[in-house]
Amino acid sequence: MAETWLLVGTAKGLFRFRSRDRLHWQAFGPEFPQTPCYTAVFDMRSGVLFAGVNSEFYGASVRRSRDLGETWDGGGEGLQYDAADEEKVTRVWAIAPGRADEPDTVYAGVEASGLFRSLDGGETWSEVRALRQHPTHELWVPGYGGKCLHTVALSGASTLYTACSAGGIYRSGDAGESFAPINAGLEARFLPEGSRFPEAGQCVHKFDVSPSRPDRIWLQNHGGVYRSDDGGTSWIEVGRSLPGDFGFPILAHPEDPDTAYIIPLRADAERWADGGTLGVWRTRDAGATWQPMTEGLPAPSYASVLRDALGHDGGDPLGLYFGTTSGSVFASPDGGEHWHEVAGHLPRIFSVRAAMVP
Amino acid sequence: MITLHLPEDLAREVGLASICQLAQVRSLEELFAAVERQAPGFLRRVTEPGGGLRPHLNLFVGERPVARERGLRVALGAHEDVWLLRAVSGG
Repeated sequence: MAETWLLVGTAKGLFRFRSRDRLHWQAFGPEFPQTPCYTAVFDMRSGVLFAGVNSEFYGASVRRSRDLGETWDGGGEGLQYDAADEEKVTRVWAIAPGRADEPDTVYAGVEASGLFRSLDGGETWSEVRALRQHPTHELWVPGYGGKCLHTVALSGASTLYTACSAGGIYRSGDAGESFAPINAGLEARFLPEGSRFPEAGQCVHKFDVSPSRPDRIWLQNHGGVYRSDDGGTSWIEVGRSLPGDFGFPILAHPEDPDTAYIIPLRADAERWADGGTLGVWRTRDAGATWQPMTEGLPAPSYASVLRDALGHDGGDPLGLYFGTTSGSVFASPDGGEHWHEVAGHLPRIFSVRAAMVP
Repeated sequence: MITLHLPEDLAREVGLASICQLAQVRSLEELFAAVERQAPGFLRRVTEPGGGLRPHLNLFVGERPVARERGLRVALGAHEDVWLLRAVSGG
């Protein structure tokens, strides 16, 4: 019988949870106590777990575990900019396993915004320099969370997407040899009128590429929910009917390209759900309409959900999971219809990732 | 003989005892290089790419604070206690 595992990255370590029925959960950890863990992922190609471990004392690293998190290595070498570089790598925000036919390739998005790649499964890292060499790099500035490259996604044989805050979303069609910003049509509401559609300098909070339709991208902006059907060349705003179109995470359904999930928050000062009604909102018609899914969630809630803290397990029915800044992890074994709390009173949650493990 | 005192978590990470003794080192630079030879990965955890100490670490030779003193080019006597400590920071 398959087990469902959750990796929950928090401000003070990585927590793990296991369930055989997606209703009852066993807790493990924490690993890396007192150390911020911004992201953790399952590499379904190999069964290796990767975690972005960001020690304020000893620096940032990408750790690996080959036994579902029981033991972890010390991280590979090279995850740093050149000594002469004005910028330094201070945190790992994103980890993305490479394509199926590149079993040893792994990507890492870091703060200060930049992209690294390992070709040996995380033993050694080197910067994908073309991204920071793009002329618009000088327009990148820190968002509230830092100047971070927080999302990396692969599509097709050689397409690579990244997003940073505040900088925007970029696309490479040649596996990282060159990049171009694909922010045309995204509105930066935090800029003065007349200059709200810049080529770069956007504050993209998260994007997700539809696995079943690779030219479709869902994007949660710093204000605005968007969909692209042409790999980011153009964007359609699809969030106007929501109670608020500010938020952090956005998640594409693994099989249905018209289904996606978001967690709307009130912008810009509150950053909690409208009226304290925390919920995951789902569209099944490519963003034309959205439905709230709140059954079993606490109300009122004044928690927020950060950009990496919403995930699914790929199951059928789909298991959905999210974690809050107030330290609760919620699970739904039926695609969001019913929720229960997996754990509470954890440290501030940065990331939640799920996988079904044979 | 130099006696190096390490934070418990760092010592555990790199596979060293929290109190190490090293001979024939004449500066902090040589001391850190000697530790790196024993425990690869030590240097990247405690120093910046340019070579200076990471900002949230403290370093003392005896009771003398040297964290911000001329990088790591601080001379050591024949018998010294060197303390590498986590700074008072973090939540």
